[in-house]
Amino acid sequence: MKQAESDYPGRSARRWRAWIASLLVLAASASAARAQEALTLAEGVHVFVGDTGEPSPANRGRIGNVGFVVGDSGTVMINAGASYRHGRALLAAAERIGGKPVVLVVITQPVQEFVMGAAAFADQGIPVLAHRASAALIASRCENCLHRLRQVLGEDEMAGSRVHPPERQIEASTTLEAGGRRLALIHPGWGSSPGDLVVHDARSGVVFAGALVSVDRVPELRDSDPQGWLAALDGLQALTRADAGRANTAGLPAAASPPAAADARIVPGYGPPVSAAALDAVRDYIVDTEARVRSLFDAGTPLSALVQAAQLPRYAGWALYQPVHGRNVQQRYLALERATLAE
Amino acid sequence: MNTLTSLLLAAVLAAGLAGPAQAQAQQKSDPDNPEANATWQQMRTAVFQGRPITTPAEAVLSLDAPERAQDAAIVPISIRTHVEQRPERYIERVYLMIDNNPSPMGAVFHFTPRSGRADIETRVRVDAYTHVRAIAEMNTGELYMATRFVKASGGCSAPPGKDAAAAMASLGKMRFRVEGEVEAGKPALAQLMISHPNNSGLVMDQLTRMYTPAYFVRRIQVSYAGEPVLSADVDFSISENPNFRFYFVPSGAGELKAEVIDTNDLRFETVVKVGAGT
Repeated sequence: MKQAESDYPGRSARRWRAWIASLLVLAASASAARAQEALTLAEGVHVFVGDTGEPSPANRGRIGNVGFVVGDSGTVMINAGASYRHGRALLAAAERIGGKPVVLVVITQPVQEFVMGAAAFADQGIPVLAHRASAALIASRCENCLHRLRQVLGEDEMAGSRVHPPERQIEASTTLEAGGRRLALIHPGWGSSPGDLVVHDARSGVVFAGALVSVDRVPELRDSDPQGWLAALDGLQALTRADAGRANTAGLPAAASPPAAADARIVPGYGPPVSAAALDAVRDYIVDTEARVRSLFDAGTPLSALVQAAQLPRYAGWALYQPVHGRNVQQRYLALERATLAE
Repeated sequence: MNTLTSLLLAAVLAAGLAGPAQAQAQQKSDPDNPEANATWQQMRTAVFQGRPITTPAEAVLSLDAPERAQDAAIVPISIRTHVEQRPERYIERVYLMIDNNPSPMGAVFHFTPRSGRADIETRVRVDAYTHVRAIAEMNTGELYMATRFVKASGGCSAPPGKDAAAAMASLGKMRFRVEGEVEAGKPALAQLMISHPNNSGLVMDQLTRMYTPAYFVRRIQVSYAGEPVLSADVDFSISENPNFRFYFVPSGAGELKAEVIDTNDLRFETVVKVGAGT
């Protein structure tokens, strides 16, 4: 992995001036500059690695990862960022780094940090694609999220942001040829959310797993089908195994990649790119949480005592453990209760 | 109209009168000063006619609620009482109030000596940062109050639709069970789960821009061997799939029966056989 080369200023005074001007603009918002930095995983395969916490003025809501894959004639974005401003910054950076126009945005999950920047792409005539179930969730609830983000991040940060439900919708796995590069869009079923999409770049073997994978961060079970999620993780494992053995550092100078990074073929939704070994931690969290909630539910533990009784110290060091684990546990308990009532 | 219904109505009216001032009142909930809330002051006059209320009152009751809710739509509330329900002196009512909810009187629970303990646990919707109050009224008229400040507010909490459709299909289904060993003469814990959307009427469907009509459970009556042990007038502050944990005193073998009435006057009934007395 290496940092994508930035547009280093040339010697001409004009370029210097332009560079200084753009630097001033960037300096006005510190993490806009950070959004310009992308990791390069393979030739034409990049990712902007975002914060893993909760939206806050400090991180400007720019949570989670946004990837892009550069083809011969165009670039495909994987997710759209957390605000209109973020979306614009990502679009500019992806086109600058890749040198090709962005021709498509793929939304992997209907979560605010992946969808709120979509309007910035749509305004440039760039189509936004998602699974039909994700598009429906975006339309039905993202206004609420936007309202809340405005409160947390401020009107200025969210200026121009609006909900843009994806106009291109798919219902099953498909392969597309976008920007002159073949990408598989895999819908593994209802996993972390009903419309999960995984983007697999056949040329490099890199997999964009979206919210199905988070690294050292508690996964949100809110929209999930835990059994489906486990199956999706198995699918990811199989996918990366199938790719193993192929030349997987095409286009990368060998020295630039730290040894551990060579097999980091999975771009998670949250945290740095990882190898398939990192899937185990996500799997363990889901299995452990399900087991704990089930046993507490069966024992008649009341909801008021649930969160305290369902602490899992093994994961206490992960990002978001404090707000999200309790929510996950309560959500799963209530799902069991609903299932009991429906019997 | 019985006394209790009119009480509840008075409370709702008091809250209604507070209408224009309510937004302001919400801003003025001071976590450290439960008395300084305009809605509460109005409720206090309307429901309790300014009678003295002892607080804190740990010897009588305590209230447990999360300081920060996991989900504003389902906030667990646990009210524990520390008074034996004797015929000569017992807790007759427990009022559950949520100051900054659109309808602050969430529930009025009625107990008898046959309840054994006037404990109650349920889940409520919480609209904004607010004080939650549990007020016990003795059969002799004294009032005791416990309060907790709860931080909760709505968010992206709408779950995917899978469950919503299933919810209506199982409308009125109930699970009723007695927890643990049952011993004659000793308060036993029962849990009643009701499958019901309990729509508040205040939630807009973002797709249709229409408000889902209010439709909720309004009354619950529980009897053991024909004698009332718990009844409750409840409101749409109670969460979807209303859930109540409470006590009753079994004696010999008998039936624990729950009757639930919703705002469409649908009645649901369930019975659990209790084999006590060994």
